[in-house]
Amino acid sequence: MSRPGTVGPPQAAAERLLFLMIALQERENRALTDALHDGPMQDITGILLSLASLRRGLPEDTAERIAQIETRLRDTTATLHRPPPPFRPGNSPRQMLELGLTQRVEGVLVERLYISLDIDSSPPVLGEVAVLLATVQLLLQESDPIHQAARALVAIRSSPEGVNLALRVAYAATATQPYAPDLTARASPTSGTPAPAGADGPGPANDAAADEGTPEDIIPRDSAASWLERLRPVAELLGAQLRADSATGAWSAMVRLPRRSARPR
Amino acid sequence: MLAARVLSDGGWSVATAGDIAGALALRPLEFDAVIIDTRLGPERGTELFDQLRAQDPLVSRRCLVLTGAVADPRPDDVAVLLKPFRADDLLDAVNGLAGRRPTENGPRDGVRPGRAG
Repeated sequence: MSRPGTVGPPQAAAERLLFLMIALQERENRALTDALHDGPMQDITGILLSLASLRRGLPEDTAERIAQIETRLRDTTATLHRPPPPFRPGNSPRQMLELGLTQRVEGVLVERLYISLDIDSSPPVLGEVAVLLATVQLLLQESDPIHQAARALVAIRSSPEGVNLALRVAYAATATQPYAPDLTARASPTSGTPAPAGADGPGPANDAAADEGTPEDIIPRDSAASWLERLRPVAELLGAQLRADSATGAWSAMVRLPRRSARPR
Repeated sequence: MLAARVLSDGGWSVATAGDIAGALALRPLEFDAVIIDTRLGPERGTELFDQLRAQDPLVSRRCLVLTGAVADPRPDDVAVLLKPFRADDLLDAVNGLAGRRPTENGPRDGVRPGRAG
C-alpha cells in the first residue's frame, strides 16, 4: 500500500485483491449462467414443446395463435441469455478489456463509455487486465455509489516498461455534486466531530438516507474537491493519481503498472 | 422426453440416452442425426462429441448441439440450437442435418442422448 500522501503502483497484496475481485465476478457470472441454463431455459423449452404438442389438435386459427405465442415466448426468453464472459479461454487481452469494460462498466457505472486501447505492441497479461478492469470499476463505484457518471473515457497504453491507465469521468450537468452522505461535515450529535470521509459506504442505512433526500443528510459542497476527498483513500490503495477540474466537476485518475522487471526494488 | 416426441411426430425414429455411456451403447455413428445436450448431468455433451469425432471426423455434419448458454464451450464446426427453442426449430434443425425438407415424412433414425428439454 502506498504511504499517505504518495502515489505509486499498487502493491502485490492490493493487486491480488483486485485480481480476486475479477475472479469472483467471473465465478458469479458462471454460476448465474448455470442456474439460468439448468432452470428457466430448460423449463421454458419444455413449455414450448408442450405447446407445440397441444396445438396439433386445435383448429387452424387457434393453432396459429398458439404458434405466435410460442415464437414470442422463445424470442423474449432469448433476450435473457447472458453474454460470453470476458475471460474466456482464447480471448485476447483486447477482447477481455473491451468485453469487461462494456459489460461491467458501461450501463452499470457510466452511461456512455469511450475506450481507447493502445496495447498491441506489449499486451497486458491476464493479471494486468484484471487489475486494470478492477481499478476502473472501484474508482467509479467509489466516486458515486448510486448514480451513473454521464461519460467516461478509459485509455490504456502498454509498453515493455509497464501499462498506463487513464480514466476521465464526467457527470451530468444537473448532477455534478457527488453523492456523499458519508462525507458530510455535519457534526456528530454525540461527539461533535465531523463524520470521517469514506468511513461508511453505500450500505442500507446510507441508501435510505439518500432516498429520503433530506437537506441535512446531503450537504452540497464544491464538486471537484468533493470528488478528490471521496476518492483519495481508494486511489491511494490503487496507486492512482487523481486530478479534478473545478470548472466542470470532472475528475481523472492515472495508474501506472510497471512490469515486474522494471519495478524499483 | 418431449424433444423425442416432437421428432417422432415429425417422422423420425428416435432413440434416447441420458448419459455418455448410454449414448455410445446406441452406436450413434449409425444414425442419420445425433442431438447432444451440452449438459448431461455431471457430464459434458461436448465430451461425447469429441469421442464421436475421434471415430468419425465427419460426424460433425450430423450433429446438433443443444445449449442454454451462449457462453457454453462448443465445437466450432457443429450446428447449435440455443434454448429455449420451439418444436419447429428443433425439427427444422434436425431435418436440415439430414438434408430433409420439413414437409418430407417417413421414418428415419435419430438419437438424442441427454435430458428432455
